[in-house]
Amino acid sequence: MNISILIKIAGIGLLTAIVAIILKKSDKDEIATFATLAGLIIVIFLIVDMLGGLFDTVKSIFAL
Amino acid sequence: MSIVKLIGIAVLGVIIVQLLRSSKPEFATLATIATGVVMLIVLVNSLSSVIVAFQGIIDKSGLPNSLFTLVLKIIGIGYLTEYSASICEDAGCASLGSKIQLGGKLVIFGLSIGIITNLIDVVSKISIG
Repeated sequence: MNISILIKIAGIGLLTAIVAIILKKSDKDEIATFATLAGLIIVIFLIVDMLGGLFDTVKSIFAL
Repeated sequence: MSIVKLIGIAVLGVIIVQLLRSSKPEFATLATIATGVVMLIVLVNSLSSVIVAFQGIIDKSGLPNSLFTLVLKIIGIGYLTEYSASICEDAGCASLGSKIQLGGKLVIFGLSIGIITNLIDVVSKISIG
């Protein structure tokens, strides 16, 4: 649980943005939306995994 | 508990959020959540040693242990509620944030009923005794 995850998310975000722009330029708009959606889903999986880790840590420490 | 590490993570998170906000706003919210999680985990780990020390003090003072775990639970709930409410406000829906805070207050109130009854028992014992 360190900073590498943050940089990974930033990388995925930027990559999706670039891919979407390229696809939009070559007028394949629907594929661009799919690419953005795919990037979003990957990042959401990462975040849900992190949140799960956080809630487990808090539960174990605060005896919730 | 090195505050420098915390500030470093926060600044890095802010930079990443600004970076993503210009090109893809939806990623910005996810980046804020991720930064929040990393910072909270650093905080919670450093908090656990303090809690162990408190445990020792409470055992010596002879107070019922359930009281201390109840207080700990309330702190934990406050911790998580504040975290999620601020995320909702960041993402732009402050109304959801206030709903979470209301929920947190109700849960804490429900839990504190135990402490209140405990207090009344102790007081009645002293007055009768």
